Amino acid sequence: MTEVRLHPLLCGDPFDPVMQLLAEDLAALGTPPEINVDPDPTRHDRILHCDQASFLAGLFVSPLDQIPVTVVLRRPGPMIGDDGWASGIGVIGRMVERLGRRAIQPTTLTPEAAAAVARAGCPTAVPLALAADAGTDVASDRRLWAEFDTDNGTILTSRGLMQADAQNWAQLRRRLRFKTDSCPQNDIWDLLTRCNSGAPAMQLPTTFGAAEGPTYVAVVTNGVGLGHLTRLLAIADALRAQAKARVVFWCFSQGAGILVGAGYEVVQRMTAQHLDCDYDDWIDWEEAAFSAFLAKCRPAAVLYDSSGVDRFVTAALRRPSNGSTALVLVRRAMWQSHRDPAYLDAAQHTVLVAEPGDLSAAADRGPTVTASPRLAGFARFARTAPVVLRPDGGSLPRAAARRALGVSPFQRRVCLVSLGGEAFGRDATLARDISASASKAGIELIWARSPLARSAADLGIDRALLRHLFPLGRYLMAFDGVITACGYNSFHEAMQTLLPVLLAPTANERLDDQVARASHAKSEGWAMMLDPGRPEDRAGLLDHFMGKVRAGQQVLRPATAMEGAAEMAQLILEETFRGKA
Amino acid sequence: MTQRDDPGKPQARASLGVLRKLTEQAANRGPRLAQLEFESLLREIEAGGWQQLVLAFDRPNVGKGALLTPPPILAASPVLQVPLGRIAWVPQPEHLPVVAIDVPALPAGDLTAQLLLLLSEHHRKPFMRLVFLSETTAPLALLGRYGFAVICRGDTPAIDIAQAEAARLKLSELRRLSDAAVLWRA
Repeated sequence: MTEVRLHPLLCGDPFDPVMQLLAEDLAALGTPPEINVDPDPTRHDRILHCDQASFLAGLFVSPLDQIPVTVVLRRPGPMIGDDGWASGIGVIGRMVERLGRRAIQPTTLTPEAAAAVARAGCPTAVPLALAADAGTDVASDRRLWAEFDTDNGTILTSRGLMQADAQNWAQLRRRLRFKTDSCPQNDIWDLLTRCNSGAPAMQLPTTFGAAEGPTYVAVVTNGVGLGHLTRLLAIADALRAQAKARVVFWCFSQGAGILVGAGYEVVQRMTAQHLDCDYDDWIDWEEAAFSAFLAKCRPAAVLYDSSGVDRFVTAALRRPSNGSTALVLVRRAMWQSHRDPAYLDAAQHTVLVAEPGDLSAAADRGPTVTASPRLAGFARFARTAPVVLRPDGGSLPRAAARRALGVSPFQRRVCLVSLGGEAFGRDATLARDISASASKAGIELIWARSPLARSAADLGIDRALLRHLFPLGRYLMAFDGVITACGYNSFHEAMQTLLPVLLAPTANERLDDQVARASHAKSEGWAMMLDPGRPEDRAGLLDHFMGKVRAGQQVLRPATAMEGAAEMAQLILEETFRGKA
Repeated sequence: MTQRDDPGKPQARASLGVLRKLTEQAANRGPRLAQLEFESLLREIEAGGWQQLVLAFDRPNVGKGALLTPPPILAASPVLQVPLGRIAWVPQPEHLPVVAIDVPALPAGDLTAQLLLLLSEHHRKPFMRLVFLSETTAPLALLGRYGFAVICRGDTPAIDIAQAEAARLKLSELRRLSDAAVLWRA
């Protein structure tokens, strides 16, 4: 016979900070609550109303003789208005008197609130005792001091300003300690005081789910290429290596098969753009699905690789069931200079903004360099070395790589052409010019086709020379030169070699400033560049480049260790996981 | 009604004429674009290799990857639109029913042949909007490139996914790719 486990039922406004705190307290006690569903004596052992209005409304659906009810009596504040506050308390006081404390347990957030409630007519209310009342170890309290501005609904910390509803209050309690001296004694004061006293919840989680290490959910946005996917895959590999982490991907990229092939669990999703549907409607569905998924696997953090954070993520994380999950933003720099700096404000939703380093950072003129976020919240900011996906077992030696690619051992010089996700759509003549120049120089080309790119059938490229591979880094030793797009991953992968490299940046509005990245590499002598604004130079440049490939030239580049993924994993673990106690 | 709005006035008649012409042009352009997209799809399939992504992962100590599905959501918002796919055109695709197609894990040749049959029919005479429920990720990039809705379901039975997605995508039925047999109806 299956044992039916009873859970508490938590009722109130899901975006009420008190509900977010209580949901996490109950989960910490091993009894995660159900939220705002119909009361059922076969499933719920008690009902906990987060405020008196929720309790009074609940009387219509839940007779008091079936399930014991606890109600948090709140002082006037955002949830309960001044008008009629005392009379409402009086009504509940009389109900308790009549039905007894076994049926209704009145409670408050603080002893001070209990005294105020007693004066208003409910003398039996006691401060709520849950996991958070175990006492604070002041010596180990490393939380940042914060000031709550009740007029503007903002919180100011030593790291920056944030909107009070930017994050789940269970996260705020873990990381902030509030000044209460100048706050009037009302519901906000009770909330801040309760946050300050919460010892167990302020600690970082130790274990999650069935995995040995922490769980993370990595959200792969739908980029033009595979940049977001590749970077998150590199970080996931490092989290696995360092902490035996379980990383589950919530993947909007059509390259989802790569992640499955790499041995990860993947939830493949469609964007509003894929469905060609209304964005706001899509957000509602996606938030509901994402929130339910997070509640099921309770990750230590969501890892999001982009410039900003989609609304469905921030809304799902504010749901009461997801208070134990933090948000980490992996934010590549090198934005185009005209990009709106308001995107930087996404920091307020996060605990960590980690920027993968860029070898061309000196040429960065985008907002991550020129502007500061208005809303930085309490997020820690860190920049790492460049993040590059390491091929399993390293790159293949030259002969083995050539064998794997099916390149004849008698072929003297071979050049890789890898033009990314929009490779064959952007400029049909580029492929023809590359082929012509290589042919003149007697160099064989191998064309890497991105898993996301359309067929190259229209471009006259010999099918036998096309390769459909991932990751390309494993095969780079097979080549004598590389012509590549200038996205973050392709660029840094190519810069690890000693091969002559010809960069072919695009000026796509949706992408990073590839022209700046390539121009810097050119000025440093690391690579040549096909300037998209000067097509008239192309033939000459290609011939010059092919000459270098034919001569077997080597190019010296800065010996930067591309260990950014390991550094990222270390940072993520520091900010979101305490390790085994 | 202002003079500008009055269809009896010469200026308004001219505006209506322009509008009618633009509408006609759009109506002609739709089928033409669908034809070009279908030809591109055929070329891509004929060129082969669309399923042949070689993954150079060598991870003996790592378990096999898996496709997961999130818990079903019964209702969150109005029903989401499902695209017709760019290889087909009808004036009002939103009036067509939404049908899920169960795509099992198949050898490359079989999958190509069965998809080609269905997509050719869909191009010739579109009478439904398709949502592919695929056991693997093999057809995801190809179908996605041509504007189709795809859900990679892994081991989860197609019927479970169809039921779970019925409210979100207003699925009317689930059919088998190989013979179009109806497996489930809403």
